[in-house]
Amino acid sequence: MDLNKLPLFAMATKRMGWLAKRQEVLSQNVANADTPSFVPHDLKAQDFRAMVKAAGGDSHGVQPVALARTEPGHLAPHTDPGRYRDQKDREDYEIAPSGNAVILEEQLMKVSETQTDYRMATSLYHKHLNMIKEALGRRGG
Amino acid sequence: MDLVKAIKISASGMKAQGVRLRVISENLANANSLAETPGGDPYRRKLVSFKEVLDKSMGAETVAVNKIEFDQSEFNKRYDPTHPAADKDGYVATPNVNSLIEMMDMREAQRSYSANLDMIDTSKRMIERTIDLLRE
Repeated sequence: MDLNKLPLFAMATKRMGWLAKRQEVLSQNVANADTPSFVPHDLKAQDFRAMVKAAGGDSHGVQPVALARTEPGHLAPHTDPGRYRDQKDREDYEIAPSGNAVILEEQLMKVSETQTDYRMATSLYHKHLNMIKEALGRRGG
Repeated sequence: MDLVKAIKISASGMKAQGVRLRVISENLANANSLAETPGGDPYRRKLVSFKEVLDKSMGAETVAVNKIEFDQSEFNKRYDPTHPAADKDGYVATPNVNSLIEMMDMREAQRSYSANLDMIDTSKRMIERTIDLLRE
């Protein structure tokens, strides 16, 4: 069974790949914290909408993770877009006289964020794997 | 693998900071090294600068020591006519090392070093998390 054919596994794997790459970019920034005229980099944020679409959602706005209504008496799923909007970061940096623009505190904040997200992705992966194992009926021998 | 690469990049940063710390201790140790001949030059302070280096085998930008330069500022002077290194007016040139500046520099190197160490720690934990997926 190819686990990556299941959307949730594919998404978790992709997320882990993205976070590992981000960790690499951040370590580059920290390693160059005292290099003259070095400007820190970051990865472009992952597009969740595009990921959902790639994971099986179609272009009609139907969410692939929504419940299907097979009877007219079923309650309609709540599809409110939510009141949180993503926001662009303020460009809040300072440049040292040597032209170096790395702020260690900011980089380490990003690192801890990456670590937390990575933990979440691996936990999700683990939980779903356990779910499949449960369905196979092999838990506890 | 990106996480292993991240560890190597951080290690290159630690190595560069290590060289910097070595030069700082050279400066501090020689803060009183005077000339041997009358009117000669005493120890001259050294400076380290870093640069980005593309590691081709890894395909990532690491950091390395650019070069170790000499601080071209003026030497300090002290009036001591009995000293063997004194010039004809009785002044001895002393190194242009300011121990306060060196200590500040040392603190900065230490800060950057531990930041790199934290990065390695984090990357390592992320790898461990991945390996844990194999466990029951």
